[in-house]
Amino acid sequence: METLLVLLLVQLSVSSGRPYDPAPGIWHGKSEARNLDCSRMSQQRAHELHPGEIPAPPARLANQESDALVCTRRIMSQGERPERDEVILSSLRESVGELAEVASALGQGGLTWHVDAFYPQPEVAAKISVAARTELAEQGRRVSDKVPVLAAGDIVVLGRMAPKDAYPLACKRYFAQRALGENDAFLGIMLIDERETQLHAGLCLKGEWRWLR
Amino acid sequence: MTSRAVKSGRRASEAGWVLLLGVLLSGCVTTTVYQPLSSLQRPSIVDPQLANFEGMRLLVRCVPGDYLNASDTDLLCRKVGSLFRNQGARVETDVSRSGRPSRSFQDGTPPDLVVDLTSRLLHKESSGVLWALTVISLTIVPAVTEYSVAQDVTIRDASGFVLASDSLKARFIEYFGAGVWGVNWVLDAVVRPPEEEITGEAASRDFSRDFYAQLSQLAFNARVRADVLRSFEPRPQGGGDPRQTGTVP
Repeated sequence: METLLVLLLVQLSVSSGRPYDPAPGIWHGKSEARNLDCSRMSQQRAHELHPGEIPAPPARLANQESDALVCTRRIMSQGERPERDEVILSSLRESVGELAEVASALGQGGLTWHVDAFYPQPEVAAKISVAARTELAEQGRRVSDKVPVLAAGDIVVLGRMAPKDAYPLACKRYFAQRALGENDAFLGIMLIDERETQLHAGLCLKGEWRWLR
Repeated sequence: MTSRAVKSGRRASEAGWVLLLGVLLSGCVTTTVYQPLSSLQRPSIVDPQLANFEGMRLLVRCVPGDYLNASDTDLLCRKVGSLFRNQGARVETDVSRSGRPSRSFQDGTPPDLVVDLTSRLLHKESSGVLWALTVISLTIVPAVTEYSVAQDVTIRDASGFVLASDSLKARFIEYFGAGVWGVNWVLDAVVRPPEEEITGEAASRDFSRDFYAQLSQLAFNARVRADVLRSFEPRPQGGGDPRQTGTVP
């Protein structure tokens, strides 16, 4: 028992002498480590990003490369929201930014942009739509809050179709019913398969649907 | 006490020290801790137990690098091949020693997906002073070796178009010492639940689970993206329809 106590005291003194380490160990578990987003970078870069927490590399080591492990706590801990929502929402800005950029390049001119997201959870769909509208607006596009709506009969028929047929047909119907005009562009952002963790997009222009990604 | 008894006692004591040194110098006193860095701690949805790639042809190409040598790369490639084979794909693996990997199956048909894997050692750190202290203290003070690795994954279609790519990064810390191993062994036995255990094969088990889950997810995302970019036209040979979400306009 005494031996074990001595071992424990030695380990505690050794670990307390080291800088804070986010890896699982005596002080914190694996689940806690998984709630951190860590990346390794040069100490100089880490100092520029976090000047109060990471000191500048010493001048005598200017010629040597020294690294720092920079960790930030995730906004939502693991398990707080469904796994797919977590992946989609944690990279929403990048993924929607790419989609909006591609769409914007294809829809040149004085178009009015409409955006809708098709995602199983309505609250996540709303966030995706807002992110895409914001992105388009930042690119200088005229963006409408209005979402084109189809007749109830169209929605019943489209709901029974596979996405590959449903979206192009919906685009045609939007145009035929004048929910979208010659100067309107509709960006649809969707999930195609329930097992994937990425968003796809299609662009509806003058009744023609085009898959973007 | 006779001189023979003293001599045999001394021999037993020496044998004990040799045995202790043997234990300390063996892998028994090495504790490896795994920490997922970017991408590896991300949740994955796809279940690797299901036939997610039924009827698809996958070419897995592995390139040896500064972290994995040719034989380790070959082993990795075979394991990744099994991962996709278990999910219903027809898989061929290719360890590229020349740096000019193949682009088609041995029978000449183009693959549906080409998975390229490259390993990189990002960082390695070990203190000589700490190792000296470890030897002096008979490993009560642990020596620490830390390294970070990246597994770069790129998934292309047969034409070479990049469908998905990611860099899966992990950090490993190896503590060499009876003290740190003993404390963690006691904590594993008494305090920690099984999923939080650190000693034994926990590090390699956790890394494998994260790595193969992310690889499956990345490949599945690439598969759906390929379908979308083809406007859902059927692949040249075989392949099932994606399981659709029903969230249509």
